[in-house]
Amino acid sequence: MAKDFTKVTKALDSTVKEIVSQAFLKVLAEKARQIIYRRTKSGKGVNPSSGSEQTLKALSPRYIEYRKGNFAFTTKKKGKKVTVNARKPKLGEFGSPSKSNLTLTGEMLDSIQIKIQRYGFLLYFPNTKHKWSKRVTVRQLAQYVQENGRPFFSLSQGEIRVLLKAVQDEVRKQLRRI
Amino acid sequence: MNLQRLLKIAYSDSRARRAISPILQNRSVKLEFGQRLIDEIVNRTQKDNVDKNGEPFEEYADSYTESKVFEIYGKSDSDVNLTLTEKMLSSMVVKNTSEGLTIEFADANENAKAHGHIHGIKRRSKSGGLRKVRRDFFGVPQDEQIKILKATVKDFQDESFDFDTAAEARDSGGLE
Repeated sequence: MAKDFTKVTKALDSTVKEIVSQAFLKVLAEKARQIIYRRTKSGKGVNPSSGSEQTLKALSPRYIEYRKGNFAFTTKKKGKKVTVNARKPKLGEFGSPSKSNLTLTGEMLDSIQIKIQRYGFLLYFPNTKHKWSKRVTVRQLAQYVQENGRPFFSLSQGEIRVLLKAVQDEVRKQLRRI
Repeated sequence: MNLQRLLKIAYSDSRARRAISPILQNRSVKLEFGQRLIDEIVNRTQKDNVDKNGEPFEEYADSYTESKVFEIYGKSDSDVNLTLTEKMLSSMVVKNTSEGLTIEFADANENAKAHGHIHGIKRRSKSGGLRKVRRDFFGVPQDEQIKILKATVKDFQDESFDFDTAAEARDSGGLE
């Protein structure tokens, strides 16, 4: 799952594109990564149709109990019913049992990667195994979350404006030197 | 902002005014001047932590500095810079008008947020009473406006700044 942020710089004219250096694109990409990280940790996603920020869907009561470590399930062992306590997750940074901020262990949001392109950059999740779940990759997990009611992996209109302002400031700084 | 009025205050010599007046009709120059006013507002707010009259901003409320979101955004209690997500200060834009220019907020939510800072929001004080907390960041004192105007005009006359490319960047990024 990758998000192409060339659209931030795509809108700019070719003269302007030439002014924006690869080093600056790296700074910009890091800023975009941090915007998504901090907004999501604050419990907000982005509405895909309006491009505005929205609170992430609340966690189910059952899942909150699981995050608190109060969850047990029954299974059969040698034909007998036994109750097994689920392992209590160690919540990631800014995680709390009832807060919906896509943070169980923190692994998913911590793993957002950056790739710099000629006129833009790419943010993506690596296709590596998710350490906690062991069954899916980080990318699959992010895609599942994104497509199942908690869209978070994009930029809102206001956030795009923050990045465009950074581009504009950089361009104007360069134009002063010419 | 009426640019001709500002020109009159900035240049007492009528010959100088006549020479500079056409420069201020140039859209690229007008927009760059407006952008430099925005830069001044942002720098003063974020770096000096003072309002448009040079007064330090009032401290943030304890409920805000102790909040999770304050921690997530890595903010410091002592740095009152009206910047959490950067969206409010980044949404200031220059608009070209027949009289000169205006500076406004491109987004209704950010406009409302700014309105609260500029005009004040009622907060409960530690003693229990209600009082208004104002952090009026929106504006540039006239002497500072004149300084910025003269620097902009000089950059145009000396050709030390590419006004047209700057305008292009502003236009193509949808920032106006």
